[in-house]
Amino acid sequence: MSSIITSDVIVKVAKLARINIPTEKVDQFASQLEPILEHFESLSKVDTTNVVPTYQTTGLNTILREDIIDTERMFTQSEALSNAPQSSNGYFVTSATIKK
Amino acid sequence: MKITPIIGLEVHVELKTKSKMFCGCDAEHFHTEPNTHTCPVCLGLPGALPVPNKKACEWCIKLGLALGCTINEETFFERKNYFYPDLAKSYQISQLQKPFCINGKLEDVRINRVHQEEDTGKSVHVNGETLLDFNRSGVPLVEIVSEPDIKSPEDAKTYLLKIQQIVRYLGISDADIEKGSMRCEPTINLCIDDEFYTPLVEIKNVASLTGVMTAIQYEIDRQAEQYSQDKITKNSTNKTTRGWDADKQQTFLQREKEGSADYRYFPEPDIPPIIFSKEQVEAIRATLPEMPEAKIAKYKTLGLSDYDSNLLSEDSYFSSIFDKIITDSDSVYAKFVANLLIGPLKTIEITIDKINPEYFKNLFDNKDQLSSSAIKQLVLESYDKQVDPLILAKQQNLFQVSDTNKLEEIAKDVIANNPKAVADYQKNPMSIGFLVGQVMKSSGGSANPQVAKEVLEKLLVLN
Amino acid sequence: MLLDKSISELSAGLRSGEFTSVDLVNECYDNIEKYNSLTNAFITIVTREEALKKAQDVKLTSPLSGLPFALKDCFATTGVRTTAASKVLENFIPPYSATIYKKLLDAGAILIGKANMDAWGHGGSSENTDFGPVKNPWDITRVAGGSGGGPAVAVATRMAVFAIGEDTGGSIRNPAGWTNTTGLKVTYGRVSRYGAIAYASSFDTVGPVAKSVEDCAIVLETIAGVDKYDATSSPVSVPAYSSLLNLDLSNVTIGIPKEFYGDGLDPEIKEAVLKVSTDLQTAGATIKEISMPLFDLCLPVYYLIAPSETSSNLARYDGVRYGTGRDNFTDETIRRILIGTYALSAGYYDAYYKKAQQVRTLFIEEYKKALSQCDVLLQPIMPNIPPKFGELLSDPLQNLLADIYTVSQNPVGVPSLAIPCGFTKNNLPIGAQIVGKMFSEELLLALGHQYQKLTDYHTQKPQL
Repeated sequence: MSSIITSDVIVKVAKLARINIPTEKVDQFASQLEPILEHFESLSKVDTTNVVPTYQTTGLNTILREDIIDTERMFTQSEALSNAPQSSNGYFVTSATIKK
Repeated sequence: MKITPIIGLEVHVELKTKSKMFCGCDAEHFHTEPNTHTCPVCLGLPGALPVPNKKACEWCIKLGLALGCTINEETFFERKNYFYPDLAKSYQISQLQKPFCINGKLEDVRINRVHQEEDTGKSVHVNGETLLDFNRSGVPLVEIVSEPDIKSPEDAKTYLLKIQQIVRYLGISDADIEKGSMRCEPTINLCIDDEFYTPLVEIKNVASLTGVMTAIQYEIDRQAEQYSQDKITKNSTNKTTRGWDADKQQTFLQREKEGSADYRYFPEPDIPPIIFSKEQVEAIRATLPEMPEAKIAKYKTLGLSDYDSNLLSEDSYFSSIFDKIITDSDSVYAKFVANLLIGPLKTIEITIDKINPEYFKNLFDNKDQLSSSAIKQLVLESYDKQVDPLILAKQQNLFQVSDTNKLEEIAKDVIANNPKAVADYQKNPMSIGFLVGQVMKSSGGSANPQVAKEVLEKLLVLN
Repeated sequence: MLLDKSISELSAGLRSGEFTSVDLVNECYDNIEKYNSLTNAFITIVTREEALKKAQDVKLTSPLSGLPFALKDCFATTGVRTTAASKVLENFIPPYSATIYKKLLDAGAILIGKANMDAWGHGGSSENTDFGPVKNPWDITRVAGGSGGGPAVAVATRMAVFAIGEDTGGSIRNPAGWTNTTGLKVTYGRVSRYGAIAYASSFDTVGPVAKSVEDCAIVLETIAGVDKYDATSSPVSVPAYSSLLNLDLSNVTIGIPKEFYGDGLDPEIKEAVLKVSTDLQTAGATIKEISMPLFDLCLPVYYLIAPSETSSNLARYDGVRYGTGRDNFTDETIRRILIGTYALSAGYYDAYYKKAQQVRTLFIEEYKKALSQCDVLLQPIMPNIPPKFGELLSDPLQNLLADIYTVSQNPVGVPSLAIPCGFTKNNLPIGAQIVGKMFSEELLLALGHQYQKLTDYHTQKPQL
């Protein structure tokens, strides 16, 4: 069986997931995930024609809230920022590495 | 080279619900202290869970209905995964497979879908740093996606103004493009010589109506130029995103947001599916106000001009005031009221509750005894003081005397006392104005000038 | 030792004045001083002074009033550090509280600490933690199970009266089985998830770990119920579980799904688990062998859907609003994020994620069918005895395969009660699980309680 998870796939997927994987560990992840993905291949043998996927098991629907302001849960500015690694004048701060 | 622009618009409208889309935070985010309207949910804290705002869902459906959409009875939310510092959870809760509304139409433009999602926080870039405010994070957004049926920047503008008008009519959003409560992302390509298609380009960061038009025109010209050079045509992989630089008045190729090509949508496991039964949808439909098109048609039937009809129906509040005053199909009365609304009343802020249709009717019924300036004055004053204009007119002696017998007595006195003016008149009938003025003066301004003139003419001929 | 007593005995003792909440709290802290350094069950311990102050002020308003408890470190606790056992949250002090934490505080229970676990729930051995592995008090060279190793060990070593865990694919049941404690994986939606750090949102459940079924019933009464902050929490009414523990076993049919007793199962464990059925049969229950042929497929279903959801749930840890950022995930967590991202990515969604959700539907049918032939299913929890440290982590695939008996229930949503059912020759605990229909906690607890009246395994404690 040809490999499913190549190093290229690891690099691409890691980028999508915003995970930095050091170059020397890419192959290691690839070789660890390969047998796992292979194991998953057993699913492809199951006939799922016309089977509706199940995304959740609550059996509930239309659980909505009224449009009411819930001040009980709202944070003060200092609470909101209390765990921020960096903040300034009431704002969270991050280095502008990404251009929108 | 024959060039046909193909333009589709994605329009985001921020709903003006009191609370946010998935939590109970105050949804106001203009002129608020940063990060004062947040909670575990919209700040994306570990363990927080979303619960959808019912009113926002209903408003999304309402907009869909106003745009002639089919409403999906069962829908669900999905997660759109991408990283950006102002996106708290690193996914946006949106709808992909089953939006609330599909297949609508706005005049000649087909609407693909109207779906519900949530806004991101605001980021400001200062000195190499990004400042983040999450007051806007989780504010309900509705996205209206058109089919690429728009052919020119002007058509795009018309479409946007229509959407804006409808949204405002429904009272679900301010839809202010400059403030950002209505945003537009055009997707453009060109059909060349009815045969070739240039690569798709999505334009971002357009922040004004003129910007939308200029950006589209710029992009049309740029793509035409580009195509004449490279002859590259559209394929499934060469769609690009370009930003609009309002200072330079040009679009520029944006570095793709990392991973933006693959949003890994999947059904949101934290929110059960949402069902709006046919009955519930009909109940929402029943709350739809009369839409602008219908209003215009109605006003024209009343005998109003195209100009007046359009002006009156521009704003739903304004037209509802007109509708409150007009209770029958009397076309003269309609014109009378329209003139007052478009005229003097347009200059002040009006509250519909303070509008008393009876006052207008009374003014109309007595319009022959009132000067046009008196009518203008009375309509404003009666609104302001909440007093019947007829009472005001009486108090201020604004009624014009049209009783010929009474006017004849005054006129006789005037003629007797002004022999020179009478002589002038006999030489030149155009100079009757002076005598009319004297009658007005003697009557204390209450004489109807037209009737006074007729009486004078009659008496002077008899002389 | 006071802490050996059941919750109802403790509650009665507090009311009669036989002992005080202060006594209980002190005994917990004495045990923590003795056993925590050996087992590493806690990541954060509330100071004794703070807990004592609460104990002094406590009003006895509920059966849990004045009782010291532990939370798995995946529940948001205002002012108390909450890490999910990850370096990413090593300094995170939540400004809000999980619904279950609020409910327990309202009931007068006293938090003494946040218990160790596999980071984010990613693991079955409590080794995948940035705060040092949890050691099994029955043999400290072996793992305690996971992901909720800490809560189970805290209860097993009497460092807390009870604990709250989170079960996504066995995280309550697996360590309960390996530490001789009783744990309940509730029906999905039975207990609010609000404030529980998400691993896999459509599988995550919050439930009790305690010394007995009866204790679990009392705790469940307090924490169960609909929550306006969790749209997936169920409005199904909450029975008074602890007063419904009587059961006529002759009305109960216990299904033995033969696929769960195949080659991979340690014979000693198999024997002990099957003995549960014969013990209950002797007491009047009916035993029926049944078949669940899709059994093997539960692993790919679980290990595609859970990582998919976790890849999205863990995306928020970008180090901007809190936390230390994405460079601090462990390799095990990275593997799960990679698998999930891959399964959801363009071109693979249908073959992996969607396919798994379709097979999940078949699994739900399979469980429905099985539970139409009997009232409950008796299943083993773990195929093996607790391994030595490093044995599981060294082989990621084997690590997943060890979860085979505990991952099929979560995609379906059904509840499962883990109970002690014996010991190996080497005196390592063995657990069994009883799985029921949706919202059948009442039956599971009553049946488990009847079993614990017949046996004394659950009263045994490790000699550290």
